[in-house]
Amino acid sequence: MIQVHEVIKTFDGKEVLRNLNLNVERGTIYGLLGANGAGKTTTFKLISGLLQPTAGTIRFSGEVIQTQNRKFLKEMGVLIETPVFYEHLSARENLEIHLAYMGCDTADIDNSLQVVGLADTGEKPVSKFSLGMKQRLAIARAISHAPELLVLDEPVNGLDPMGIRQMRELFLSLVKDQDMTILISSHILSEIEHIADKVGVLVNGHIAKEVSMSEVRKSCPEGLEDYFFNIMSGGAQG
Amino acid sequence: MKLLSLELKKVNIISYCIAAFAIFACLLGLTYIFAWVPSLGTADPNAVELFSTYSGIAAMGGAVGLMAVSALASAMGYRYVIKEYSGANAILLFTYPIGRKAVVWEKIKLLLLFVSATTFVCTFGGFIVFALTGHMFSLVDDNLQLIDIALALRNAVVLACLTDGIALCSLRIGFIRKSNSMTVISAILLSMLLVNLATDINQSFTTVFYLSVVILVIGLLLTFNMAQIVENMEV
Ligand SMILES: Nc1ncnc2c1ncn2[C@@H]1O[C@H](COP(=O)(O)OP(=O)(O)O)[C@@H](O)[C@H]1O
Ligand SMILES: [Mg+2]
Repeated sequence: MIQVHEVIKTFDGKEVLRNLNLNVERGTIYGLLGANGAGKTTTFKLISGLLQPTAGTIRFSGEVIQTQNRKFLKEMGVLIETPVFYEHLSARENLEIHLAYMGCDTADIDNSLQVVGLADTGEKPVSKFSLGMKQRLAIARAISHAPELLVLDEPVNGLDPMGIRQMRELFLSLVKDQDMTILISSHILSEIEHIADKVGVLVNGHIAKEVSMSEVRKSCPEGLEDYFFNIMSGGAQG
Repeated sequence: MKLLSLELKKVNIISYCIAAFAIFACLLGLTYIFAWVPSLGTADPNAVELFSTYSGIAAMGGAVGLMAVSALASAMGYRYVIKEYSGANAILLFTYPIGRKAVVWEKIKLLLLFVSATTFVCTFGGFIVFALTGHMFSLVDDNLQLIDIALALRNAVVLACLTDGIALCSLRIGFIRKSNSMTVISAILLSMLLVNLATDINQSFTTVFYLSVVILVIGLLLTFNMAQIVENMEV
């Protein structure tokens, strides 16, 4: 569904991504792991057309992404870094505006709000929302127009453990019941390992290691953290 | 049209309407004070002359209105255009499958509509209220004639163009650094440069007219340039 091929991105001569290759298959969850500053957000911005690659190509459903042709954005639900809203409007009104921009008038707003647990916020303006509620609303916004691909950059930031768990279940059900594909990033291993089918580790702007979770479970039942610990201490370069 | 109604929903237009009404009320109050000046027996014959005719009072009110609305327009322009293209706001806006330029122009349309209407209502509307009450209670040592109202109408239209031009120019200047203060300060400076001319609008109408057209055209050209920058912007 997404093919990132030999992508380089430089900011003012500083190379942030170098020869990045990444493949996300339809109907799967791809987890992008990386420390702060590794280039996760930059990767996601490139995939959603907010940045132009300095070199290399990115394909979405086989077509090369170009910033001039924005049609592909209709099929993407994007949540990048700290989301913003029209603070004087309610959750529902924010979603209405979003859907109108998306050119999608058949969507079920109530359902989107309900699955993230914001069904009872009513007329309350978003300015009165807590951080966690805003994050939930951002997730509702990203899924509301039923996109084919969800691009979620650290989507559970600011959520409590209960919320994190709810969102995890939501993501799994979106893939299972609505055939969505999810690209999700985090700097915390445990957030990813329970849901991802495949994990890529971004170090200094390129994928240092890519494994499927089934492989991890086979060779290291203790989980992702131990898997990486074994690899790192086993002489593989970090 | 659909885009325009969306934009309208997004801005907190009520707060700007309140500000516009406040300008209207202050300007109206100021107009009555102008009319009162000649009876204070000041030594300045210019002031006495200016403030003893309806057309003079209208011009003065228009000039003050120009400054006030320019400041409001730049504040609105910052909140509503520049801020939408900075940081996380731009990320949200750019994830929509619609032309970026089209959205810029919808925002500009709405801004100009609001600014023109506010300038017109504050200057011409204010003058009408004043002129009618002034005529009724003989506040001014001058006969209210139809020509006074016609002139005020003509001047209000030109001032609306001028404020639009100032708003667009200050918007582009503020956009350079995405800065609120730069937007507002440039609007205030521009309007201060032009305010003298605006008080003279009855004597040198052609100059003010052509200047307004020129400034509006410059503003529009600058906006074309801004839309092009937005089109290729990375966030
Ligand atoms: N617009 C930009 N200009 C210059 N440097 C940037 C820009 N965006 C990101 N960077 C740099 O790129 C690197 C990767 O950033 P980012 O993609 O945000 O990492 P992550 O999301 O993994 O924390 C950082 O060193 C950051 O400073
Ligand atoms: Mg990041």
